[in-house]
Amino acid sequence: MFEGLVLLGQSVLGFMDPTSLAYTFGATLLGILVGCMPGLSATLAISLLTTLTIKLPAHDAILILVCAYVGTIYGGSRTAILLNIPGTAANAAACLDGYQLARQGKAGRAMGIATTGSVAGSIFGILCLATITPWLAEKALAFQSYEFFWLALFGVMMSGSLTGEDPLKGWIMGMLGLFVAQIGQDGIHALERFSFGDPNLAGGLSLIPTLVGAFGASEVLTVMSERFSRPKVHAVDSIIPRFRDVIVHWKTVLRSGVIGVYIGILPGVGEDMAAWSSYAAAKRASKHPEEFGKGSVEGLIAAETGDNASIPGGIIPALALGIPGSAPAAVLLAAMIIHGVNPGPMLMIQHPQFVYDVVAMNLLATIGMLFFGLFLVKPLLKVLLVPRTYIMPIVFLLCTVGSFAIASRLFDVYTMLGIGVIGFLLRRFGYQMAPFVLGLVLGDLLDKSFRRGLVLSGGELEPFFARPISGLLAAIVLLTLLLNIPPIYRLYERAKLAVFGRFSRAA
Amino acid sequence: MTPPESASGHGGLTRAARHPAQPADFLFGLFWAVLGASIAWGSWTMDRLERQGVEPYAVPGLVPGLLGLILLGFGVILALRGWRGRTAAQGEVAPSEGASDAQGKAEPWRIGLALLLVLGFVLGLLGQGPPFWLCAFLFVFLAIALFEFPERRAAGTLPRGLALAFLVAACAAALVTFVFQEVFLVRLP
Repeated sequence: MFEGLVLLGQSVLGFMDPTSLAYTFGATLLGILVGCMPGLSATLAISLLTTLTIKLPAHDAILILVCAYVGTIYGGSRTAILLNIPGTAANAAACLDGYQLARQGKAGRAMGIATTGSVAGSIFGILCLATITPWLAEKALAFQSYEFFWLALFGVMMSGSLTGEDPLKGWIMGMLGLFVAQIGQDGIHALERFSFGDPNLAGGLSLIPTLVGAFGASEVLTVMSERFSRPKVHAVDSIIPRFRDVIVHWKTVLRSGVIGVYIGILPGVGEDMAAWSSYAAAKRASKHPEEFGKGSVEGLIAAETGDNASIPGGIIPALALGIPGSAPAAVLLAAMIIHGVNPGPMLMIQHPQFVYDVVAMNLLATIGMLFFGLFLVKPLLKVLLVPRTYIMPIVFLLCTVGSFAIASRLFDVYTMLGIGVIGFLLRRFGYQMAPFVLGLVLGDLLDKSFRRGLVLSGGELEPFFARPISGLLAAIVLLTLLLNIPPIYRLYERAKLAVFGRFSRAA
Repeated sequence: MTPPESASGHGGLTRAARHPAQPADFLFGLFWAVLGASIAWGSWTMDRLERQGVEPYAVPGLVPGLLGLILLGFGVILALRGWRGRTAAQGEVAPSEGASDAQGKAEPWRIGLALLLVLGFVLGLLGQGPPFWLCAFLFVFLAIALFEFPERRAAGTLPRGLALAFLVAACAAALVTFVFQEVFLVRLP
């Protein structure tokens, strides 16, 4: 306990130099600006910044990425409140009450509430990050290949189930991501797979250009293909947050924080689901549910607390298990690996300081978020007036240069473009990129864990199902799959009705 | 916009909402099935490293082969669903990553132009002779000028639009080239 506090104190002090503080505030501000722009997501911001910070020392680069991540999710609430357009998917729930408050002439108050809710959620998540990560990493030391195989599959399946409108398409994208990760030399015997003799493919598709293509180029193409109209921004009143709003709704803040962290920890489920779940739970528990959707302060606090709490929540399994909790966390994980940090159960043993460094990075990002949320609201709104036709070509230019800069190979640029164009076309038919990204990041772990597990068990599948945690994960994966088959789902519904109907009649 | 039922904390299990299968699902299903079968076949014919004493359950083609078979299965289900035109059980109705993803807002000419510009820039210009700053300038200038053309022409502000596009493109090309070439020491294509 005290050892952890000492390590955290050292980490915070370690960032108290002008360069780190400049990176903190610069990256948070950049994140907020990106978040303000509808169409640019947190995943895009992190993947693009990964390429731009590749030459920096690991700590500085990861600090920038974490700050940009936090800033982007927070920045998206601005457009949700002022334009009824979520800046990122995570802020869609904030539209419901934030925009209604803006229509009532309370846009400033709504932004103040969003700021305090975001800060409260972020602080709660940071506390969980500092306490749960070491505990989870210690427990995970007992994990073997069997558990890691199911965790990787669980992440891809959950992401496929929850990030789009059609689980089948989500799973297809997840499988595609897992397959793309198999291209190149295999991780055990170094045999080239699906490289067709091409030396560029021998090492596999580079992770970062592929991620930049999946989220950067495909999003740029999506936004460029849509008509842009200059938004009408609501007038902004006082943005000084009323702490009374938060104190009165402390139960909502706490509940949303817990939900946000829990959903963040679930592999592959992102901030958007955390915001919606927190919002729905707050509505159920509220004394005034009829106000939700009509400018409820409680609803806005719930949504913003939930999504921000899920950011550190998503980083917890990424650090402790090497399994990202969300698509942006997947890119963050990839960036850590590129910078020589190997997240997983051994991290707490080999580099315990790094875990607390990430906690400190989140803390600094939250301070940056609070600063810009309080003092730079009106100037930041100017970014909403910049036409997207100016921004998108420049973002694509950065995607291109960033992909090239990693290894000075034009092949990486072609990879980015190819994945981007395919991703753009698939998105138009309801295929989401988040499961693909999860599959891409987890593919190597899944492959190695499955084959190592079989080697350990002498080819027997039994340990994959008989060990307690393996069995639980296997059951969840199989249930997720089965309950999305309509006849089985109908059977389940009938059985549920029969059981609960009998109980309610008896009551 | 309403929160999804899934947000009630029951995952996707409580939702009975359905949506019609898309017409393209059948063709996509066939494509995934063929891709999955090809992957499975490629994995089956892959070197099994028997001479190195690798056990059959640890061969490099095992996982890709299984993934190919799963993709084949999912592709067949999607194709059948598309063929029958039946409604399919929905997954979570959560807003997707990339909030601008709503379909129907995109205009065909914009899609075509966007693809033409990025493909032309990467495949036609980069690394084909012209210096990077010129390629970058041309791409950004053309993108801004062409996408704004209808609105600018209708508003009678075409010269102003072209001047702005020129300015933005020149600044972007110069800044990106300077930062990457002089600060990050990247030899640009």
